[in-house]
Amino acid sequence: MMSFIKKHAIPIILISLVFGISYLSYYNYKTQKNLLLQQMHNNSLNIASSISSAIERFHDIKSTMNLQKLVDDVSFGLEIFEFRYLESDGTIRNSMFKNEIGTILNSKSFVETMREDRKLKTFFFEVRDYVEVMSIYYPIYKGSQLVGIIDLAVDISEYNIKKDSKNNAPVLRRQDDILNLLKAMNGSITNSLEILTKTNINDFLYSYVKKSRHVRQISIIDNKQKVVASSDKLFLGRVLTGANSPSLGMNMIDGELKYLTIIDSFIDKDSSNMKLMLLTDASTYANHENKLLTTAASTSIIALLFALFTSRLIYYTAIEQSRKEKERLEHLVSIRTKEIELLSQTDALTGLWNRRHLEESLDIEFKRARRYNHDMSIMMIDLDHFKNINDTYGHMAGDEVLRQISTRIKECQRETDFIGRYGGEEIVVILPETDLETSAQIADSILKTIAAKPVKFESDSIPVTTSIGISCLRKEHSSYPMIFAEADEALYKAKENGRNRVEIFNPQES
Amino acid sequence: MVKKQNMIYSIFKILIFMSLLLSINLSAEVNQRIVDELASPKPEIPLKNAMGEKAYNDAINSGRYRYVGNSKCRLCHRKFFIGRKNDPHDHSMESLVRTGYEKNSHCLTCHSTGHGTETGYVNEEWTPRLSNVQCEGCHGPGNVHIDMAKAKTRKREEFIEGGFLAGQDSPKVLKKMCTSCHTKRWNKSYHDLDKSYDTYKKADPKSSRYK
Repeated sequence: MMSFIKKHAIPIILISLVFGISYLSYYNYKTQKNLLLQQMHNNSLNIASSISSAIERFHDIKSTMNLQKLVDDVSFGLEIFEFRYLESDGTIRNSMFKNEIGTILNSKSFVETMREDRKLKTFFFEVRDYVEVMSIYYPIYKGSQLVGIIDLAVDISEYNIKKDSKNNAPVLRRQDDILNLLKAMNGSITNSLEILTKTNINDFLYSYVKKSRHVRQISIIDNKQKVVASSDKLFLGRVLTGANSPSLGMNMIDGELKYLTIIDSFIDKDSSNMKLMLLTDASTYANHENKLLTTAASTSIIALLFALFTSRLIYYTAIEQSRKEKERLEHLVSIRTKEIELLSQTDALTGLWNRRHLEESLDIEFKRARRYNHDMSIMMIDLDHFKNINDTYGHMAGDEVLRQISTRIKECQRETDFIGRYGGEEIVVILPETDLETSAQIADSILKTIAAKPVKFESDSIPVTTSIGISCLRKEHSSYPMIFAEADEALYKAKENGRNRVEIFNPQES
Repeated sequence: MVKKQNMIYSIFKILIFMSLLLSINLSAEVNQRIVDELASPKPEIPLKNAMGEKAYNDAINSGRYRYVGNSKCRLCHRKFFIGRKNDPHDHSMESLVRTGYEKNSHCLTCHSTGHGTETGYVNEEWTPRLSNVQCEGCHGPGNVHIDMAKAKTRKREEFIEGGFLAGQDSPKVLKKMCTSCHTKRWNKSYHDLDKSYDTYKKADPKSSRYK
């Protein structure tokens, strides 16, 4: 597992980077989208609250006015004892006693008044709830038609203490005040009724929708999902259940994206379970959402491309590097191989060819010379009294002597000659294309070069001489050991003849 | 003729004298408790007596409490209002008017609503709607309770006992309100406080009592 991760670290990192960026952009898109939705929902709520407050006002107008509030607001000096708004049949439309709204007023005085035993719009005294009050039934007319009656009673207990004071000036003054108030109320109620007959809630909703830029439809539905009021007249009376019921949220309606909200209990009044259904234009939202989605997608794609590019780059760089490294290594190996080859072919001490390479070269040169009928000579050089040098000056001195001698022989070497250390203090020189005469001259110069000056080792000066045996290729030679043996014989002869000299092998002698 | 007339006059005189004597005798008998009451020190304001002086002073001096009259109570507690109209408490002023003590502060302390406090009963001219012992006569000023009832969000914990100084949640204080006025001398209407207290919880105590 770990090795897999190590091996594929870069792809893994890049892939996780792409995934990470994609996820982040997606998350961002989601959050923004939710924000937009929330914003739209809040807008809807705002619209709903403004509509509901408008409708509430509408209701206020409908119930003529908030009598409770009026009772609180109006200060007479006289206490309002009872205050009702009745329909012409006696149904209580509004009252300061909330629990009697909707019932029919059947007090004695009212029944008498409706029987026309008592006049409307005149003050009279009666006892209500054991309290002596001054009452009036004030009619509201629309045209000539009686549409409502205001029932107003005021507590006059302070005037009751003094007997027979019902018709005194203060009471009359109060009656004037009350009549003025009732006249004002009459005006406002007839106004309200006028507005009410003119205004239709559907028209109101329609005009609201028309005025607003984003709202497409407003409907009021009751708890049985029936559309009670709507800005769209075609929608009225429909029951929104089953397939008819729209889903909350985004809807494609008439080829336009719309957002649907249903706001519960937007009107607390009348304890109705009315709901407000709101269709708002969501095309702006769709635009924004598209943009957001595009941004998120392009971010992911850019991340992906970036990752691909990077991986490609890393791949190429890696390939290039490894190729260079390989070349470098190959070069190094070839150098090393050459060195090793050289090491295997040369003698460590003297730097001359070793015996194995010498023999190989000798074999090749021998064969070539024989095949093309060319000359070839072999020279065998041996240090004189090398054992004595070793014994006298030590092995280090012996090694130094060998090294110096080798260098001196190399100085006399021609380009095509092979010089090898055959063993111990014996050095062999192969001279291709060379006849005996030339070889002898070369041997002479070698001999002289070596003997010319002593070898210096530390403080010692060691005098060195060599013996050289030469042989050359002839027709009777079938293999190189034969010619080699002849050179060796010549060397032996040189040693025998007093050293520090050159001997040429003479075939007649043997 | 003149003699006869004189006789008739004298008989009249004797009759008038005797009736006078009788009436004085009778009234003397009825008024003995009044005489005793007026001779004794002025009773403490019932609310002060029930709550204790410190709590009472703190509440009244805060300026938050004000007597409003029972026609305001009627807006919500109409049944109680009608019930109390059948109850002697709501006619307590009548006996003062009959005996001519309707302006005596000593008597008004118990016969009116909130007499002795700044916003309570003063006289029939100024505060006609606080005469008699009304709802607030026993429960204390009602304006805070009304504000609470009107408020859309009621924070009950802010006003203990529904905004009353002697609300239904503290029967101890309420019972002390009863006994503040119904002393030994005037302990006419009940003999068992707890029983009477329970009866008064009903909307119409009188009708339930005489059923």
